Amino acid sequence: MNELLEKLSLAVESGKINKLSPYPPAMRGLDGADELCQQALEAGIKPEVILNDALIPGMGRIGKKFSDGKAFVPEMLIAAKAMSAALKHIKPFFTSGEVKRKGVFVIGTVMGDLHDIGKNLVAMMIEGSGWEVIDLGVDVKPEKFLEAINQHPDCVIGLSALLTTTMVNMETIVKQIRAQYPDHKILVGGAPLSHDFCKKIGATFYSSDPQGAVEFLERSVA
Amino acid sequence: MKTIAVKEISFEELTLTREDVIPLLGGESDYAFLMHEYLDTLFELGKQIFQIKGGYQVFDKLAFNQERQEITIGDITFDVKKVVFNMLRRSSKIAVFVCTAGDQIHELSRQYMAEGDMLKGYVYDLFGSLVVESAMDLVQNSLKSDLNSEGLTLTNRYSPGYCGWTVDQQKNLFALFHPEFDFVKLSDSCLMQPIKSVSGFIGIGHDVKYNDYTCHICDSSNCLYKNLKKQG
Ligand code: B1M
Repeated sequence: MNELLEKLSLAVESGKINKLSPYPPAMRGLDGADELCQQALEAGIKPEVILNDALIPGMGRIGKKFSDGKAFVPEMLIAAKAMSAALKHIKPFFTSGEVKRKGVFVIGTVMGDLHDIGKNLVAMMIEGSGWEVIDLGVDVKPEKFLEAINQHPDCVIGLSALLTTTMVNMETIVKQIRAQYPDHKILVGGAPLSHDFCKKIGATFYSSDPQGAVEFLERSVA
Repeated sequence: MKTIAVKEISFEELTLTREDVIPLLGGESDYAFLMHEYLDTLFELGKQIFQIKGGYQVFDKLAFNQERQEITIGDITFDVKKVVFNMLRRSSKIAVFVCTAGDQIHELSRQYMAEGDMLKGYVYDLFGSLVVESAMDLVQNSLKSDLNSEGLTLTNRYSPGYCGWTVDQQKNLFALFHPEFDFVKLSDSCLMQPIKSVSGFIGIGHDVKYNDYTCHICDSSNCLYKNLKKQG
């Protein structure tokens, strides 16, 4: 791989935001994701290549480390900061249509529940894997998800809940979606969930962590 | 012994220290200095950010049904399941507690996340969780010192949502409370608000046990604290 892209990918994975950022200490004084992405564009590397060969793999590696219990949440969030610093340079190409996202992912914490840390982490990692993310927030009613599907028929729906008493509301939401869109892809997650529960309510897939969610989405577009 | 005790707790009273927080953020790693910066602010502004309040109500009209693993307090029955039943069954009284760190920490955390600073939002959220647990330690300690003179001891805290005791039993638990406890509200979906709140039972008696380590009785497979203890 191009050396610049390799450096950029490593900057994202390590959470090196820009030249001035003091973290990680081993990269102090070096260019960060911000500068390296700009340099890659100036070197004529296509934005799509930068995204697919450097940024997404960088986030993917830190996501995998978290999933394997080798990184803590803050490391993932620092990497995400570096990713956003780089993405800032790529965003205009999304707007112009030159770079296409992999798809649309609509996520929300289900009605009755106000927890959002987990949902926000999942949204962030999925955005970092090349998807457009629409975050409907917390306490989201079935109609909101249906509206989103109307507007983005090919989207994947993501439902999050943190308590068993709110996770049951997923069933209502899934039922209402299935009544109109029997084959729609619905991903579920959150601390009290399980594969069995996912199967029972008729959702498509359960992931216990953001990386699993990213991998599910990868498979869904393959 | 007081049967009802509700107390506002100031942030300065808490025994929470950096050493309690840092391990949950990854320990003294090479990014720890960033975490310390957030913690500097949180410890400095804690007094303004937190509205901590907690209390307990003690009940002595108890009935234990071993076969069904149910505890009846007054006329309300709790299906606490095996683990909690066994821990509480020797109690002669039960203190029902609730404690909150207030709304502001959750609001701040959400605000930072909405502004795109997920890291700050996450650290604030985690800190809020530790504050409410630490505040509840104080509430429990004050109950303990209140009981010492009577030669009574306490069990650990047990909460709906742990060890098989289901979260929907929160409705029964809140039904026991005197109106003084309305500083924490329970929604139809059994969510307490403020979010940073905890509730549960503490057993009281001459023959009850407090365990320093309780992770082994809990079936949670994804607990933040348990995984940490496994690593440690
Ligand atoms: C769409 O696709 C996807 C895919 C993956 C998805 C996804 C969507 N959404 C999430 N994910 C996944 O990816 C994220 C990143 O890895 C993860 O998201 P999470 O949101 O799970 O993770 C966050 C990033 C970090 N995790 C957290 O912030 C939660 C951590 C744990 C330890 C936890 C904490 C800290 C707290 N709690 Co409580 N708490 C627990 C939690 C156990 C655990 N390990 O999860 C849990 C959620 N709590 C529980 C309970 C019962 C309770 N808590 C309570 C209180 C508290 C504290 C206040 C002490 C504190 C803060 C709560 C808060 N959220 O602000 C009470 C309720 C509070 C309320 N407001 O009603 C209370 C009811 C206890 C009580 N009676 O007092 C349990 C719920 C189990 C159940 N049966 O419902 C619990 C699982 C612990 C347990 N027993 O194992 C994954 O789940």
